[in-house]
Amino acid sequence: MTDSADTWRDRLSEYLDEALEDSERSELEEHLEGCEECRETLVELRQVVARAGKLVDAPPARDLWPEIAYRIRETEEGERHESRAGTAEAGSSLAGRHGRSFTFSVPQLAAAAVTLVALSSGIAWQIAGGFSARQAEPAVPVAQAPAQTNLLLASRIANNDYESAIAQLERVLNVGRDRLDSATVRKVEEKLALIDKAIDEARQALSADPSNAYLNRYLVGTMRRKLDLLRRTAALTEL
Amino acid sequence: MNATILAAALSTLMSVPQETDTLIAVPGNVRITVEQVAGDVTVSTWSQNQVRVLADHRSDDTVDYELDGNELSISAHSNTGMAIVDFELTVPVSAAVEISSPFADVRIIGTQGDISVQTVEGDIHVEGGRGRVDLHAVDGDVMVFGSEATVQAASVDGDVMLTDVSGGIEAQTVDGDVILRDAASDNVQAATVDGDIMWDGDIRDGGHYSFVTHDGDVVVGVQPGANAKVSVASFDADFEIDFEVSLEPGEQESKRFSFVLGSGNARMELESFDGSIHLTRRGYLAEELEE
Repeated sequence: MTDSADTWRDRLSEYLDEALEDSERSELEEHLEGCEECRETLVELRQVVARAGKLVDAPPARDLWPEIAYRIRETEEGERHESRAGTAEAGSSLAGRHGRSFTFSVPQLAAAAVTLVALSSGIAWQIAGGFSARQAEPAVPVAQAPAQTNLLLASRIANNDYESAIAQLERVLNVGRDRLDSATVRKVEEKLALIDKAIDEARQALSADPSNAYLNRYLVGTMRRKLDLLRRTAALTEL
Repeated sequence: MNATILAAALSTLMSVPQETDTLIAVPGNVRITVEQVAGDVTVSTWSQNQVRVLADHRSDDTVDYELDGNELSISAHSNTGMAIVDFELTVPVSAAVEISSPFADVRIIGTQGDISVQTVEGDIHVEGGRGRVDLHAVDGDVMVFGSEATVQAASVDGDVMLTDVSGGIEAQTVDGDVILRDAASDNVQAATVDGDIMWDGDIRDGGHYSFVTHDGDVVVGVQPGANAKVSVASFDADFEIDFEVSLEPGEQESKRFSFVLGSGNARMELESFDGSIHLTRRGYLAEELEE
């Protein structure tokens, strides 16, 4: 990938948000005609956004909106504070809800894709509340939540909370592990270690070649596999 | 054998074996749920609107049945510990079947409704199925033969083998091979972490085929005249192709490249992080497996 491709690749999110100047937009579209890798990345970013859109219509096992709203309020308050202190960075925005644009780097969006998959595949209740969430109040669909907010939340979770989500799922499993046979637990732990090794190898490869689209996609897929295995194992404790 | 099963087996030795044979009238569109902790389950079909349940169990185990509308629930319980019941079910052809049995081999032959099976330790073997077939094992192989269903087959420690499946396929395992033979699906996703991916089937125009492994080989056999845009990606894999394709000099060494077979109507992704990738003709896999 050329430096030029790197430059434009980092701006694909702005392109999707229609946040580029007309001249920049024309230049990027010209670049896209000749750069297959950027075209593929753009397709992947559109898929992430599309997933976010679909997620809005999926009623979750429990109402996520209060937590989303809390996080947004918390972040907005933080931003206002930063703004008053004169430290707010231009362009770091939150704001689908207020009509401002938001931008993410490609790795952020890739990680967001993992988290969206986790959220949309029923893991959310486990991440948010563990087993007790099943006895929670009936879900109020988040249909009113704008897609951008979901993407925003996903990205934030992706940036900060992937490891936390994994850790929370592991805690869920620890709580439920006595409901599983010890041989099963051992087997699952062995296979999780296998996935962890694959993740480590992908990360190492990526650190040497950060713009490699295959490695980025591969890392996301392998992380998703780990979440999926944890989710499935958590479900086994209910058998 | 784990300690729980061992304890139950010892308990079995001390109780009286018993076989019950029960016939239950059901609607043709019956949905049958079987829930138990351990014991094998075999399901076959007949043309009657009845479910026959043959259950091998101990005298202190009980088998309960509940029919509510078109939902038939079958479950096993024990007064002295864990029930171990071997079920043989004969069900209407159109029945939907859902089985949840942590320690069991499950075998389903010939049903045409939806199928859902979840085991922890045990193999799953399905022949037939329409609609949706969802199969999940932790420690066991998952096998499907001759199905028109959309198949989701997953194991953690075991192989996933699908033969003659024409619906969509999502096949994955963590430690094992994914082997897809005589498939005619137009939407296929196959993935493993430590194992090989093998495909021997038709590539359909407009289809999407994704084969991904971390530490293993991808061997894909396609029919003559297949139309596909093939994307190959790896970190450190070798690539071999048995067809004439046009590649730019040095492209293959870059570990990421694509080329077109025929009109390129389908999309195919071949990815191995650290193994080999081999695109070949149909039939190659059968020969390899026979050897």
